[in-house]
Amino acid sequence: MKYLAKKIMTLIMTLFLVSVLAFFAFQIIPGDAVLSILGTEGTPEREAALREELGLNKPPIVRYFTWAGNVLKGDFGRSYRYSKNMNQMMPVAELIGDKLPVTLTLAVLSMMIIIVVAIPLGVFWARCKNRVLDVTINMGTQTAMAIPSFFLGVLITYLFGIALKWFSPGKYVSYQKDFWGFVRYLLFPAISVAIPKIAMTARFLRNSMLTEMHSDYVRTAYSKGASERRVAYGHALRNAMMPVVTFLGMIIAEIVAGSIVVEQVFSLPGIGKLLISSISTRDFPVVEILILYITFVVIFVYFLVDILYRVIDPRISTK
Amino acid sequence: MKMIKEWFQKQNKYFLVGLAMTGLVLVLAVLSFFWTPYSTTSMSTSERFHAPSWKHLFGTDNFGRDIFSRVMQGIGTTILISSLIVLISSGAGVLVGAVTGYFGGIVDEIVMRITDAVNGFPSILLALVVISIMGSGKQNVILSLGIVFSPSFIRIVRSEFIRLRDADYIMRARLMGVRKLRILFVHILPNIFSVFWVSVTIGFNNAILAESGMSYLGIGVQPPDASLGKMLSDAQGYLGRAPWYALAPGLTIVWIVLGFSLLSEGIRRKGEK
Repeated sequence: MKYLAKKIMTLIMTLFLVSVLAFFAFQIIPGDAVLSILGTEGTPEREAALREELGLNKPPIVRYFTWAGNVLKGDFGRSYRYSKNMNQMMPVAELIGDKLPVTLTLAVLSMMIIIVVAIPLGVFWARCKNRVLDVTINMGTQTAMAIPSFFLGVLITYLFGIALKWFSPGKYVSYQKDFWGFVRYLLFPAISVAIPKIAMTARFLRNSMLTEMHSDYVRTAYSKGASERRVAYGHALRNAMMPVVTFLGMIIAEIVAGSIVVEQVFSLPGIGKLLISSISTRDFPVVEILILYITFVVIFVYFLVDILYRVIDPRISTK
Repeated sequence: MKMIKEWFQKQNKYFLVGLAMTGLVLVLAVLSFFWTPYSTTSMSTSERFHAPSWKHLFGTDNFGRDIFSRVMQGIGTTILISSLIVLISSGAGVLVGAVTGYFGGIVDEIVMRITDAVNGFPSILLALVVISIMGSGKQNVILSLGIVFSPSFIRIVRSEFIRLRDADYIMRARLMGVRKLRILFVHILPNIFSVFWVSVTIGFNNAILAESGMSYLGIGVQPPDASLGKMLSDAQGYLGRAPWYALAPGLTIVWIVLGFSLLSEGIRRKGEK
């Protein structure tokens, strides 16, 4: 319990630090947001009014606390670039709201593909005694890890989209209209995110399995007369999965980042695409919130993995 | 001749294949600064979308430009940028890692916490943050990725210095009154090279993947500089008509990355022997 409290404290401290960094990093950038919003229509009065409205006339420290307070209350500020209607700026929360399900579904789908394929592959590879097959898997995973996700996306678009016509590239199906069509379309980006990670996870699991297969309890299991299959799945896999859990946690963080690029390849209207376009148009309120959000996801996943790890294996000291 | 043959027999397969693959890339990269088979900018409407042939090894693109020449130029840019990124990050790694590893103490503690925090994050995200603050462009890509990749080098160098700082020969050097700077960089540094080269080759890989990823997103290298990532994103619009346009830069990236990872695997195995 003491351990959990300490972990939660670290979690909150890290989030605080990240929010301070995310906020102040964008304060040191040259250029005035007000001038860039108004463009050529700026008059000194309108400038002053907008400055007042956005709170930009206050010192940075005061602005940080206002901003952070608002974020905690669920008010994420307003975008500099997108507008809701003629004289109202788009709230960031609304901007992100309908893009979140896209990115989340992509992440969940990729994770499912990774787990379903990588774990059997890793175990199979560890037990594999056929030298040709062993070398083939080795080369295959080595190559899969060398393919950048955006090129994989392009290859998959070509193979399944243009050659086989299983989906129409660029014709994104909205989840509000047709949920299964949406999942079907997302399947292909998810595969491009998953393939390199499958290779990594399988390699990792194989090494972990091979270490376990040499341990005493495996020898004991064999001498009791357990079949090879039973030893591999019933005894060794459970222990070999331990480091893999941590590894999969790190993979989630990578998936979140990897989807930034893959969303661009398949022109998915998700968080990543919004982040890139906001960076290009220097829409800082959106960038700040997105960075904070992605960081939060990453830190939270690490936190969960840490806790989970200790639940699975009570031997790990809580020191 | 005999010496060369003996040298070849001593190397493992990973190392040799990796060396051959990266060697070819480096030769093309250096060559591209002086010569390409065709001009990389001259356009020709009559030669649009030619499939690969002996005349145009990788075919031609939507402007009738020779793709092989442009890929060569892209390799040049990518290798140059990645080298600078690795130079910055490994340089920072050696300096900071040596000092924190050898002396320890409160500075070490602080630096380790920072590198822990940075290491936990996907590198492309961090680079995006830096880019969004500094703006896009070649220099900023180099600088931001150089910063982002430093912590991994710092950690590796630091742990090696910690391992060696209490070794007998270092104790002896200290007793003989060798200056600290000399102990750090003349006595310890050469002994960490085998581990260091492995991380340099891995660093190269990450730099190439990150650079081409950012160029693909349009926030890295800007035209008129050719880059493999940018070429790939241009080619995507013509995937149905000219698939070779996308395959050429894409497969080149895979080739480079695979070459460096085989090389690092080879160096690692040599170190283990």
